[in-house]
Amino acid sequence: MFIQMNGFAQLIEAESRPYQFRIDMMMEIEDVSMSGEFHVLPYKIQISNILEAKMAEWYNLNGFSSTDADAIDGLIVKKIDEFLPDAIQLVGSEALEKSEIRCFFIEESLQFEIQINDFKPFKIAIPLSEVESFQNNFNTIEYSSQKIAYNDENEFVVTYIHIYNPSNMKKYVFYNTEDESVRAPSFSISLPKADL
Amino acid sequence: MKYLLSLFLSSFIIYSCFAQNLGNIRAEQDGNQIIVKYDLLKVPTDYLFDIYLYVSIDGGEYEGPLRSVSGEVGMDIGPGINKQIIWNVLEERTSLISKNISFKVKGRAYDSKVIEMVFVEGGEFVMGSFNNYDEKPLHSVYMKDFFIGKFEVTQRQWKRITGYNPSFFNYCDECPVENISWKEVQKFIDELNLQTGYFYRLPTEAEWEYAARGGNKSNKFVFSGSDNPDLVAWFDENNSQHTRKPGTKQSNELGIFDMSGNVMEWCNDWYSKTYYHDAPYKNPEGPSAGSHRVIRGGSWNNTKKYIRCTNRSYSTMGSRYDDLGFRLAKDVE
Repeated sequence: MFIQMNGFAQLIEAESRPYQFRIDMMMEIEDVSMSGEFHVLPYKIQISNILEAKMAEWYNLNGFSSTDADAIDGLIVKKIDEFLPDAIQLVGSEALEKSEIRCFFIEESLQFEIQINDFKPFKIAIPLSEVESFQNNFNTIEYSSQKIAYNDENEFVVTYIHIYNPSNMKKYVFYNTEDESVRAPSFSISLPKADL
Repeated sequence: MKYLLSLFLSSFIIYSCFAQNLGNIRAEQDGNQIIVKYDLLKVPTDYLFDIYLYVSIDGGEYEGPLRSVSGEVGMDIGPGINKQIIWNVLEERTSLISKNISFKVKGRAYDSKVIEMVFVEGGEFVMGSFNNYDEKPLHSVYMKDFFIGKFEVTQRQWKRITGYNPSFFNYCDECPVENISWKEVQKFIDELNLQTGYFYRLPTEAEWEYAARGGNKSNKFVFSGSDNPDLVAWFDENNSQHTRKPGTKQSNELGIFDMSGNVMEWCNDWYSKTYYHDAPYKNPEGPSAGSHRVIRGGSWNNTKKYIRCTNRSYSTMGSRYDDLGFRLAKDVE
């Protein structure tokens, strides 16, 4: 028997091959997480689902008849325009709540860029004396009164939001006039067939 | 026996330690991504792991490994806490909705600086054939003992040593590395030897042919391990135009795989089409100078004529092809 050790290499005897390096080169380890609840669905579909439910409710309430047929198409478009911002606001607010928010300080402009997955980044100006507190307490920053749009690149756009730093009780308001009239992508809605 | 027992016990102890040290796996949603965190602790500091992520939905089988992942996942992950994998769910699925979703993290540790080798006991054999001009004349050669790689060197092994993967078929870590020149192979070997303290090298052409023909256990097959190439080789008649994981066909008489087909293999020797006329009897090492290096074994891209044990090819030292790799050899010290 001839044995040579070097690291995990061993020279061992085998029946058909007199000598061969055998390597214990692989070790497997694994573990599992606790089970939990997750809800991942493309935002456009989530918005469509809410829109569709609202439209169906409106449609059924109004009890359209054949005499209304000419007006129905126009009304549907009008109602989609009416319900869409609410649907976006609802899904966007949920997404904001579920997402990790990150910030990066831009020294040149004394602004913080706020980054959220699936949201268009936005920047807020912070007075120099408050920068340190904002940065150090970013994990405790509170967000409220947000207005959220959805653009044709399938990302949410924050057009208005209150940002509050509880550590120094400073409140900042972000209001983006440029993104105020964001054009949303088109949503196709399937409604119950009209009783024509 | 006592020594073997201690080897077994030490392997068992190492394995037992490892079994405890991947854990604290937790997952949270970040928008439409899922962040999975884990700890990898108390493993030897020089060990690197390949980390894979799996998901189970509603108590079903774990699916995976998941592909749309980033962060501390994939090859060469070292120990630490709060390691993070980001799963971009919607790149892989249309949705993920359930109250009962769990994740599994699996780690595999390799010591890929050690190349699995087969001992080739020396002896005399008849080198060459009547087939091509440069395979003639048949001549007797005596080989001393040596080691040769059981498999072609893989992309994983190449990456671990060099930090890059030059392969054309670079989606398969376990496939042979290819698209590497003879010079790059020498750099790889230098670095490997530096890191391991071994003295690996390319096989000589005579070593290569002796090993391919089964050494002193040779059944004198045309191809390495059989007269039926389909049993032992990936070549143009049974292949989908790419390399394959080594060791998936039958081995030859010595337990060596893929010496016919898969990728052609660089040898150390300079090529000369007349070398067999005046080669030395003992341990020939090729001409002392030349313009091309020897290539042996044929590839996935070749007809069966070119994957014969005796077939000789050659190329310049800077050449790279998507069907040209290598295996290592080593002296018996």
